[in-house]
Amino acid sequence: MNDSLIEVKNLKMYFPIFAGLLFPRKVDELKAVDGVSFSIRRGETLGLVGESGSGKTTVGLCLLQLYRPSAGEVLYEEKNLVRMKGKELRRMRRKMQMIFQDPYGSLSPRMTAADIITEPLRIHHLIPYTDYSKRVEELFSLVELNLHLANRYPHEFSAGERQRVGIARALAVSPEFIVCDEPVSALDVCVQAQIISLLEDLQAKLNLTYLFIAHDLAVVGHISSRVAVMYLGKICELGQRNQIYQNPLHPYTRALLSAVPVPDRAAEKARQRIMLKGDVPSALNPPSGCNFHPRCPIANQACEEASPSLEMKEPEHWVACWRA
Amino acid sequence: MSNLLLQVKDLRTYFYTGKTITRAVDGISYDVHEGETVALVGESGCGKTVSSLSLIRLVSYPGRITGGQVLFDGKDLLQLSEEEMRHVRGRQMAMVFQEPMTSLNPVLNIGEQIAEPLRVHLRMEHKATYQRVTELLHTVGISDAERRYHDYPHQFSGGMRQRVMIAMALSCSPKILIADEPTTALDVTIQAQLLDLMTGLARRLDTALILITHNLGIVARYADTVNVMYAGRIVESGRADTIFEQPKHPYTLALLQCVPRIDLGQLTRLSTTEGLPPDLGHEIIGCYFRPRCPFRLGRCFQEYPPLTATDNQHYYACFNPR
Repeated sequence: MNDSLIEVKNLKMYFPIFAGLLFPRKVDELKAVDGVSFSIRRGETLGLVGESGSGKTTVGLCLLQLYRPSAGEVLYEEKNLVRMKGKELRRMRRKMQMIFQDPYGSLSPRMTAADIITEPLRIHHLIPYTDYSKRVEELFSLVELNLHLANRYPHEFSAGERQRVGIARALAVSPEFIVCDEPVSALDVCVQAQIISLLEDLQAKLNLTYLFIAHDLAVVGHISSRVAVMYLGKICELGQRNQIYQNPLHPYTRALLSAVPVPDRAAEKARQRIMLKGDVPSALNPPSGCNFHPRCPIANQACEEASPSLEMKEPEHWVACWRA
Repeated sequence: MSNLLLQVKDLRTYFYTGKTITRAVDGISYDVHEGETVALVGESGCGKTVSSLSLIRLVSYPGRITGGQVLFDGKDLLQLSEEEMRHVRGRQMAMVFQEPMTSLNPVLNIGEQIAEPLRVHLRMEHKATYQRVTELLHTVGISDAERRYHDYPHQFSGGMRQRVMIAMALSCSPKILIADEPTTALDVTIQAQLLDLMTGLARRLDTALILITHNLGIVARYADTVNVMYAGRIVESGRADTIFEQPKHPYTLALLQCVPRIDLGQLTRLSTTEGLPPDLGHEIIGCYFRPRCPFRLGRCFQEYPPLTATDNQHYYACFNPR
């Protein structure tokens, strides 16, 4: 596994819960991410899917050290980011950028598109000030935005254009790795297709590596070479795109896939449906044993008692289930 | 085919803001039969929500319904007085909104909220109401109904809140249920649960369902008839099977091709349609989809294509259909 750019080992992120007005003390922990391990290879897209509250965004933020993980390691080119701080970490951040879900919330309303895009350059002192306008020009053409929009403010853009500005900002420092956190879920289907295609083009052109976080299985399946499925802070299945989508082994993955409707009448009628009961349990009070067992259609005694760990069932295909 | 229940004829809703008139809904017509599921599909801003609000006359200032007819049981709803309209809303036609948090009252417990239409429309007694509400809660899959009756909206998860909304909408057994993006804010597994519940209940009560969504997968799974909307107009309509097998309008085709699908292998590329829907505040000459259309003709620049019918109730507005 020497071709991996990023390796995550047993990553944990616990958020403390405090109670008491005068002397707050820690009463509990929310285990947002609880022992997650995976690696991302150079030039690939790893898709991370899961329902809301499964901890997928937290994983993304932990990779970039925007949250400092409670335990575990994040190795970027074999350097452990978790131990880094200050200048050293800032230097690493140049290689890792992020694209956010809500382009409106993540762009300052008081800065023009050009200001927003050049801010990372100012922070990292990458190029002389005089070259900024040239760089803006380059970035605008990369994300296929018209240059005459450079001096506009975020509210003057359409949602798709705004997301392009967000992408240009991430690209400004020529990163190697980008965490895309639900980059298209706020967009209309046609615009969604445009942004997905843009991300694919950029990956090919600039040899980028993506961690693509989304709840939409169809989008993740389209863009990813490998996919990890998360449930309540743990990865329950990890494998090649086609392994996950054509031969899902974990009952949760199967249910998730069967819940997604397909825009084709004939195919939709022929599909087998697995209906899950109930809601996702709270991460504050996760079920015992395998955390999926209360909703699982094939759970038995063993599942209530002990939590299964990820095991390789076929080459590159890992599943955490006693019954798979 | 079952009886015709609702007929929307040339409905127009315009928004008058300052000097501009935004034609949010510009002459749409469709029929709803008893017990049928009708889908309205389109991108955001295409007028699907405004058109459904117009049906029950909930369009607020500066919007105005400026023309058309909504024939329900032989009466034109647009001609009713506000008093008469109140007897239709909730009783004959009910609505489930997209945001279950903002459409529930945060300071009333959910039992009271579900009971309200029962008291108002059916004049139920206190005890009977309580019983009916717990029954309804049970029907929509909220267990422990007696205790949950007294809970407030914030104590429910998003999916559960939407169940409460469904219970409320179906409380008076309406003839028509309008569901405006009922599951867009929810996770896929919850989405599937709720849509199955809603369509199942609608079928059991013989309620027609008007399903407003941008998700073509949901349309394929649940709808009987489909109306594709673009820029305030219906560009294609017909039976769901026909629309999915032989889409005629380039916009329908674009919608179908630009969504990634999980049942196929990895495609190399999504087909993209450049550009955005037009600004409805300006007068547009010709077909509204023309600037984005790969199949446009010279004629498309001059006049808006009329709805053309093919066999088996398939209509499309295009000069150069596929």
